[in-house]
Amino acid sequence: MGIGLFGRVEQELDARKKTPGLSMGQILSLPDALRRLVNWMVRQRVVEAEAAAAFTGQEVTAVRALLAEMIEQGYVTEFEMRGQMYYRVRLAAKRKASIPLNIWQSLDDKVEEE
Amino acid sequence: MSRIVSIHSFRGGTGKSNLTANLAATIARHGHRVGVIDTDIQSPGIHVLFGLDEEKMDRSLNDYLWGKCAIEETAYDVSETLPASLGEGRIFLIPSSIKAGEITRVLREGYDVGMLNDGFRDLIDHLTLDYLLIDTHPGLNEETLLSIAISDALIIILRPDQQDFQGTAVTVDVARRLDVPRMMLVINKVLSSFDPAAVRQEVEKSYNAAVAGVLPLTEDLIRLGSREVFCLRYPDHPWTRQVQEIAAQIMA
Repeated sequence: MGIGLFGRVEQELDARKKTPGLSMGQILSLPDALRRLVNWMVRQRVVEAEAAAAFTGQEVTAVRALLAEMIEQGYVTEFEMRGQMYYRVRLAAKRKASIPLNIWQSLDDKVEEE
Repeated sequence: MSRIVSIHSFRGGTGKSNLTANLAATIARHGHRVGVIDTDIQSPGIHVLFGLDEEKMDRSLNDYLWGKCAIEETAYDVSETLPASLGEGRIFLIPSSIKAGEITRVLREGYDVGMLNDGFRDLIDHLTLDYLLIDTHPGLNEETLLSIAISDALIIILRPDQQDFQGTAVTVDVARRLDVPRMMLVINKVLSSFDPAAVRQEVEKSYNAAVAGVLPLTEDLIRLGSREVFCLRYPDHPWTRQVQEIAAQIMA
């Protein structure tokens, strides 16, 4: 027997929690200062910590710590090029629809199973 | 310096794609290279206005999002298919697939939203665009929010309708939270019995945002039925003049 419609909904909600990266919806709900930084990073695509510090008006060390925390959370990725570290926002992939598109057919299948 | 401009509406049927196509043509006629990308993946349609035959559409934005090709390979130079010359200007259209299977595949399998951001910039670089116009999906979803977030300017189109007014308030609020540098409203399908100046004033006051244009409801536009770009077919029409004013504000 399948997991049923409500099982699928639970799977979908669970998948949302585990999806790496920031969704645009999540960005909207960030605290103001962090949201402005993330918006700016998305617009720039790739940034250096020094430029992020200049944008926020904070010390570079403080911005590096913030970026490290965001990397830990899976919201930012870093890479090195010619000895310089660069950072970019990791946008969450648009999720697969785990509920079948043909919902009526699914319901029909479910009825037949039972 | 190239500019990204998103054209958005909270609800469908506002004339968003029509305005996007006409703005693209008007800007191109000033000698600019303009890209138009259809990010309305669920319900694409702007290719119709540019006369791009679905049968000849062998690559689309969908192919890029699935990693089958570079985004510039999905661009079609539609400049020569239009009803009037663009002069030195060019229009490159990046359509979304109109095939049912490919639309449902995007819904079924999802895609990497970050690729859209990269794709927008790659298009500007590879096609040396002056402007990239993004025709968005109505309402608010991930790709629409991203399009708004990375835009230099956002145009929100609405009709004089209570449902549009409410939805536009949501969009304006979201755009402000995404720190869009420039936001303009366009009111479309305004009845001839309305006073355009009064409509403009009311909307500007309600949203505390600039109104770039008030477009009249035009039977000529409806009669054309999205078969062509109106401004090129009717260059001296009052509707065209309004679009020219909006385009001038984008280019300012």
